[in-house]
Amino acid sequence: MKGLLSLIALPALLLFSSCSAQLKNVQTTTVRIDGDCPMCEKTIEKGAYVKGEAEADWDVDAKTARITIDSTRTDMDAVLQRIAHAGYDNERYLAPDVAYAALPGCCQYERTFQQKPMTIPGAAADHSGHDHGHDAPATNAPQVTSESLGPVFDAYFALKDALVASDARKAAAQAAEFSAAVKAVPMEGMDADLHTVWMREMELLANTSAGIATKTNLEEQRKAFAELTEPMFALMKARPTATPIYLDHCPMYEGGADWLSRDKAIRNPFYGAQMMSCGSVKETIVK
Amino acid sequence: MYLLRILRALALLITLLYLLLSGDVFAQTGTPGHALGTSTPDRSFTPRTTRYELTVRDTIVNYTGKARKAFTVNGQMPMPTLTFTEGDTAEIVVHNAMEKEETSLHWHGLILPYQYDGVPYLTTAPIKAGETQVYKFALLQSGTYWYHSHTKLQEQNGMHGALIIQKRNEDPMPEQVLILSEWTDMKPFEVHRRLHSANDWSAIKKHRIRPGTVQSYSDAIKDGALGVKLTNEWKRMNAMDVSDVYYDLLFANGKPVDEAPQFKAGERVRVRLINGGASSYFWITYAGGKMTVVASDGIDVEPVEVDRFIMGIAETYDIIVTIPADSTAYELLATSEDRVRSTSLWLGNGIKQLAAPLQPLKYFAGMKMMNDMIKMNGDLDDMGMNMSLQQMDMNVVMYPEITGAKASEHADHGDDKYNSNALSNIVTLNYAMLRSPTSTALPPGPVKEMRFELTGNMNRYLWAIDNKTVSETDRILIRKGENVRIILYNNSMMRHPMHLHGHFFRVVNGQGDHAPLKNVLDIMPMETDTIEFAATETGDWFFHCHILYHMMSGMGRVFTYEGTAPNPVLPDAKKAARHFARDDKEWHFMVQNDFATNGNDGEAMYMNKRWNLQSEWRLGYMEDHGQEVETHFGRYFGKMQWLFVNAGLDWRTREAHNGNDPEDNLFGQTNTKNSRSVGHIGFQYTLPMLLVLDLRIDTDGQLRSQLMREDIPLTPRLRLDLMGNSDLEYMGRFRYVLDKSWALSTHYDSDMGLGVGVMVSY
Repeated sequence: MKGLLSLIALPALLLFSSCSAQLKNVQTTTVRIDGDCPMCEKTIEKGAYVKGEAEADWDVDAKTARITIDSTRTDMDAVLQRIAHAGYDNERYLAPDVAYAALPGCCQYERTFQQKPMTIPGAAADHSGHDHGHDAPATNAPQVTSESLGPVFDAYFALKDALVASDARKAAAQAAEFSAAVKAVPMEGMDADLHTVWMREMELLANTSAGIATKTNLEEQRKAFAELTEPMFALMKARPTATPIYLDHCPMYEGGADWLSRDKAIRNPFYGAQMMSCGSVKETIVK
Repeated sequence: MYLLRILRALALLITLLYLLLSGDVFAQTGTPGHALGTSTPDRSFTPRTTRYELTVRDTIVNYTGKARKAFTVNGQMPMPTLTFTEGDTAEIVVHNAMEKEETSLHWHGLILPYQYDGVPYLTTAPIKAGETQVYKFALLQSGTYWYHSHTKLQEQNGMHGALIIQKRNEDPMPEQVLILSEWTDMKPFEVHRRLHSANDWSAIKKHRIRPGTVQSYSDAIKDGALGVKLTNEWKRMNAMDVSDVYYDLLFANGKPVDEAPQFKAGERVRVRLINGGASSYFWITYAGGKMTVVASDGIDVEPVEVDRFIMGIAETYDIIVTIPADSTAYELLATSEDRVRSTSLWLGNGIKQLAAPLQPLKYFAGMKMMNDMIKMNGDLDDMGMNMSLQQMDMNVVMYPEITGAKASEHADHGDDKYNSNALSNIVTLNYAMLRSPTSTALPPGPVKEMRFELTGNMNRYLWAIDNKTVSETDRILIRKGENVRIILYNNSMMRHPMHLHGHFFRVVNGQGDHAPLKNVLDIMPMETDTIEFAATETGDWFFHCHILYHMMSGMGRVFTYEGTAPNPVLPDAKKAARHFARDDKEWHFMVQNDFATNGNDGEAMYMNKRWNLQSEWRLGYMEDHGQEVETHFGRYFGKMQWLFVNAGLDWRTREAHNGNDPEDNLFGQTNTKNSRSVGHIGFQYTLPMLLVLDLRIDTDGQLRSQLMREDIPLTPRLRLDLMGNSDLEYMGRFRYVLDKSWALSTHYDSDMGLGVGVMVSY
C-alpha cells in the first residue's frame, strides 16, 4: 500500500515541481493544516504565497497542504507562521484568536491543534475557604465560599463581556453557560444567610439567562441582562470575592440601569462601542 | 508614616554597617525618599557583597550578512544580567579592554551616591581605554532595573543589560527577564548625523515593509488624502515620523526570537520587561490572555489587568502572565511603535500560539490629526482637552484595532475621541491606572516648582527644554530637604521618555497619596504631566530624554544640590563640565553633488544645533555655462528654526560672448554674471509649503530674492526640487533615490540647460 502511494505520489511530485518552475532550490513538505471548506483553501494558499519564495496547495479532504519553498530564500517556519496569521492552525503554529474569529462563519473550523486550557488553581486568589478550615477544623460540612459560586460569577462576567463586545452569538452561548452554572451550584453546606439569598434569586437567574440564550437580537439580550443585576448584586454582596467588584450605573439606558464588573474602568454592556465609557461606579463590593 | 520611619532608619543602619565594614571613601547618601518596595529587612541580616567582573570589548558582529562593530561585556550582547538581593552590597569591577574608546556604566534606576551614577564628566570619571573602575554601593531597593553605557552612542550597539534585585523576604516565583533592544547596520554616528540633515532614507527603508511610511504625494492620492498632505506641508511639516530610526532587527534578550520553554501549564510567570532600546517604543501583547502589571520602573504597583501596554524607552515593567495550556508556547510579542518590526519571547514548550500582530498605522489619519492640532507658528493646540498621563492617545486615530481599518471610520466620539479604552474592548494601560500599594506622600517641606516646556523640530533635529539645550543652560540648584515639583508640557511633535537619575518621582495621577513612583515618564505631544520628588541626596543628577539621539542633541537639564562638596572623582571640575557639555555641541558634516552631463551641482554643510556653514556650487563644463560658488555662515533662530540669518561670499565667472550680456534683475538693477566676487548678507525663511525664501543684498548693492523648495516627495523615491530667483535664474530637478547615498537625477537649469546625472550624498 505504501509502495503504491509513493508510486502515485512520485509523478505527482514531479508534475508539481515542474508546475512551480519559478521557484528555485525547491523544498517540498506536506503539513497538516486545519480548515473546513473551499473558502479556507483560498485563504490558506493566499496566506502562504510569496512570489518567488513559497506556495501551498491545500487539500480540503485530507486537511493537508503541500508547501513548496525556495529553501535559500525562506523556511517552512515562516510559511506556517503566515498561514496561522491568516487564521489557520497547523502543526507548528496556532492562529491568533482574533484572526480565527475574523474568519467567515463557514470557515470556523474545529481547532483540533489547540490544547485544553488548564483551570488555574488560586488564579482568583481567594483562600478564605482554607482559613476557615483552620479556624474551625471540627466542621466537616463543606463551606460554600465565593469559590463554589465562582463559576456563576465567571459566567456572568463572560456574558457581560460578550454584550460589551456587541457579540449576540457569543452572548447567547455565554448565557447558556451561565444558566448551566446556576443549576450546578450545590446547595448542601450553604450557611443560612447565603441559602436564603440563593433560594430567593436562583430561579430568576436561571430563567432570565436561559431566555437570553434563546435570543439572537442584541437589544433583547441587553434588556434581559439588565434584570440579572439585582440578584447578582445580592449574591456578590453575600459572598464578596478577594478582588473588588464594581456596581456600575448607566443613566441613559432605559432611564437608568446597573451592571456589575470586575474592572474599575467603565465598559458599558448596554451600548458597547457606541457609548463604551458611559456610566459611573455606584458602589464597590469589597471583602 | 511611623512604619516608613522605621524602614528608613533600618536602611540607614544597613548602610552605616556596610560603610563601617567596607571602609568606603564615599559617604552613602542614598537613602530612599520613600519605601521603595522595601520589604521588612530580616533583623539577623548581615550585609553580603555580590561581586561582578565586567570586561568591555569592541567586537565584530554579523546579524544581516554585514560585518559591523559592536560592544560586548564578558563576550555578551546585551551585557550579562546582574542579579542581586535587596540589602546586598554590589561590587562591580569594570575593565575597559578596548584599544582607544572610553566608556562608562550607568545603573539605571538605582539609588546610590552620585559619584557612582556613571555619567561621564558629570558624576563619574570616564573609564579610559585599558583602565579599570570599581563601583561599590549598597542596594536599598528591589525590582527590575538595567544598566547601560552613558558614553556617546555606545548604548545603541550592545551596551545595555538587565539588573535585577530580588526581594529579601519573598517566596520566589517562576520568572523570566526580557530585555528589548534594536539593531541597525548603520553606524549610530551615521544615524545621528543623518537625522540632523532631515534625510528620510529611514522612512524609505520602512516603506518597503510598511507601504505608506514615506507619506509621499502618491501615497496621499492612493489614500484619498491629498488635501491632508497639502495642509500638512502648508503647516511646514515634513512627513510624520512615528519613530526616527530604521532598524534592521529587533531583539528579545539579544536574539530575533527568544524562547523560555521551562514553564508549564497553569504556572504564573513574572516577566521582567526592560526597554533597552535607544529610540524605539514597544507595544507589548500576549497570546495567552491578559497580563497583570505589578511593577513599573522597579517599584511595585497595585496589580492591574490589561490587554496591552506601551513601553517607553528605558521603562521597565513587571507583569504576571499565566501559561494556559500544556504542550503550547505562548507568544509575548513586542512590536515597535512604528509597527515595522517585532520580536517575541515564547513562554512554554510546544505548538506555538501566536499573538495577533499589530496592523499597519493609518499615517494619513495621523497626519490629519496633527494638522488639526498644530498652529501656524509650530505650537501645538490641545483644543482644551487637558491631555495627560497617556489617557488621551492622539495616535489611536492611526490604530486600526481601535478606530477601524479605514481613516473615515473614525466617527466623532466627542470627549472620548482619543480615549483608547473608551473606544474599544482592548484595555490599554495608561499612567492614571498605576497606583502605589503604599503611601508615597512627600515629607513636609518647602516646595520648589518649575515648569519645563519640551520643544524641538524634526527638520534640523533640535531637541531641547524651553528651546535651550544642556550646554546652553546652567545647572538647576536644588536644596536637600525641599520637595521638587516639575510640571512638564510637551510642545513638540514627538513623545519623550524623560528620565531622572538617582531619584524616584511621584507621577501625580489622581491616586492621591498612592501616586506611583517612577524614574521614567513618557510624555506624549500636548500632554501636561506633574512629577515631584523629595530632594534627599547630594551631588549632580541628570534629567534627560532617554531617546539616545535626543539626549545627544541636548534635551535635558542637570539638577545640582546646593552645597555639594567638590567631586573627588572629577578633580578638575571646569574641565569636566566642558567635556560634559560637548555632546550637544557636536558639528555634523554633510555634502552632496550631482555629477551631471552639463556640470557639477552640489552643496556642503557643516553645522551644529544653531549654526551652519553652507556652501553651494554650480560648475559648468562649458566656459559659457559659467562657474559659481556661494558660501555663507549663519545662525538659526526660534525653536522651529525657520529663520536663518547669514553672511557670506559669492564668486562667479563666465566667458562673455553673445547672449551673456549684463542682465536686468526683477528689481531693475543691472548686473553681469560674467565676473563677480562679492560679499553678501541676508536671511532664509521657511514659508508655508516648506518654501524657503532667501533674501540678500551684496556688497555691490545688488538685491536678490529667491524661492526654493527641495525634496518634494512625489512618490516614495521620486523627488522634485524647484528654484527661481529675481536674477531670472531657475532650476528644476527630478531625483530618483536609489539608496542612502545614491540617486539618479535630471535637471534643467537656466544657466546650464538640460542635464542628467548621478547624485551622491554623504
